[in-house]
Amino acid sequence: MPTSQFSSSFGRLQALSGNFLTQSFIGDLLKTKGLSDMVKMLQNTWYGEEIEKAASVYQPPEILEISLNRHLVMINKIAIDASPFNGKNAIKAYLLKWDLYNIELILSSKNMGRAITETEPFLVSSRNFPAGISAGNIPHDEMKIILSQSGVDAVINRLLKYNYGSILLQHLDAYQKTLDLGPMMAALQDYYYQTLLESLRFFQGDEGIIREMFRTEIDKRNILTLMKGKETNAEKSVVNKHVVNGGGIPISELMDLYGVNNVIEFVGRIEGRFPLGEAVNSYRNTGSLVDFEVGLDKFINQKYVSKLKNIALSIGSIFHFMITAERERENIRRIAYGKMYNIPNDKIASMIVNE
Amino acid sequence: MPTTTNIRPTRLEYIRTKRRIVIAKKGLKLLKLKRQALILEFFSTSKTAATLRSGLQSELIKGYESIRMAEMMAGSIRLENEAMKIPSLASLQIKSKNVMGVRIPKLVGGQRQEALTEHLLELPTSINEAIKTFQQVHRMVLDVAEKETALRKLLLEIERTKRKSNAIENVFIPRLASAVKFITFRLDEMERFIMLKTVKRKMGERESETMEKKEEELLAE
Repeated sequence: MPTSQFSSSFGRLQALSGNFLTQSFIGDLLKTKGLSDMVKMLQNTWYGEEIEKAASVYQPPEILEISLNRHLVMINKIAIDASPFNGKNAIKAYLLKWDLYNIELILSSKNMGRAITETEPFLVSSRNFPAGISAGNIPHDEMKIILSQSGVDAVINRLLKYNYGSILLQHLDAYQKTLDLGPMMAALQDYYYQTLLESLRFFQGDEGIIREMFRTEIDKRNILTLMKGKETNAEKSVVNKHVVNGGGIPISELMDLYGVNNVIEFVGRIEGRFPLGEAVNSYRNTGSLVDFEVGLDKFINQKYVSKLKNIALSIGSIFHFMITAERERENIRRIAYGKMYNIPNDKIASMIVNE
Repeated sequence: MPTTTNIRPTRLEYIRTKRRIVIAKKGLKLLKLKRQALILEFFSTSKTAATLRSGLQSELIKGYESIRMAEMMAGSIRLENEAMKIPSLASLQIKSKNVMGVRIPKLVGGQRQEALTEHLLELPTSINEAIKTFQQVHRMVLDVAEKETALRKLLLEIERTKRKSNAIENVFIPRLASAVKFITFRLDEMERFIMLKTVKRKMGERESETMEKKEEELLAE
């Protein structure tokens, strides 16, 4: 029987997976009295090293956020290292989202004429200590060079060697007329999802569930965009520009759904695909769309992420490792800020996405 | 304001003073009407300001809750990052509108030149909500500032109008009335004096006529 090319990565990541925080540990974090207790508890986990490094510069809650970001950077590096040669493309395509995060920031700062010193701390601190996430495909040093460009046009020219430039160049004329970065941002997001889905096509034959998961991620993004649009009474044509192609629900159907009167009616129309009953009840009380985001995350996590774990000798196990790390980071952050702002434990617990 | 010592007790002055009293009474009536209108405006503005203020309070609570939620969901670094992407506000212009002679400030601008709708659609839900709530808070703060400044100005004008009408009613008109009284008194006095002088002159004339008659009778005898 031939050995799978994923057996080595599976073994390596499986060994590291033991470090993920257990549900009981997350429960204990919820029971802590404050942030300092949380930091102390986390020092004994795989976050300890990063917390120790950040301790000389930051205080809670920043120390936690910086450590969590740094840890995620490390996890992503491990994932790339662990993935076999023909799996690297898919992993890199997934990590493009962190590039977009930085590119959007740089473009916005150039658009508003902000100084480099104002923007740089969000990419990398003065001690070369990344405050934001920089785990994409563009190295830090290159990001700093891009940031030093004189304007939006120069930034786009510099990005030409990374594919993003050609995407952005198509919208440069429109930007110069309107000074609106919206179409560029939407195009980058569209590029990200299309590249991701493309990289997972005809891969090994067992990545159907991963593709399904990302299609549902696109649905989540589109549903939330439509909800935000409905709340702000945005024009259908405006919302249409921000809907990403490739989701389970076709764009034409989404645009038909946008004709409903309100968010509740909209949720009623997609209830068959996405069970958001609980979130609707919460929305009725608070008027906040955040519960829908959490509800959709929980749905994706339960329906897809937990299943990825079972596709052992596949790229799915690598995605499972990265997505679980991201979820863990989000859960810790939610507990930390919840504790800081004295938000009731029930409320914090309702926002935690568990496998 | 003339004192009794420097009032010329002439008929012309009497007519002028009488006319001034009529004008002062008309002015007083107008000032009282102005004060009433200002008070009405003050109450209606204060009602609006109170509603706005309580609305602002609840909107601020909602705003801070949404910021907490955004920090929980997206983290403070992402929140700061997204805040940096928001274009700065247009400069605020202060124009004025005239309410019963009071120049009340009217705040114009202070909003973003370009709509944020498209930008908001690309943001995480929690940050989107925080931005929307604080946009509303910003609008309300401007409204409250406008109304409260208007209230202060109206109150000042009501006080000033009250002082003016009190001065006219209790000082100016009584003084003019006393001046009229003084002039009337002096004119009456002068009339009486002249009348006495005339009577005396006439009596003197009669006496001298009688004396002349008596002398003529004596000469005839």
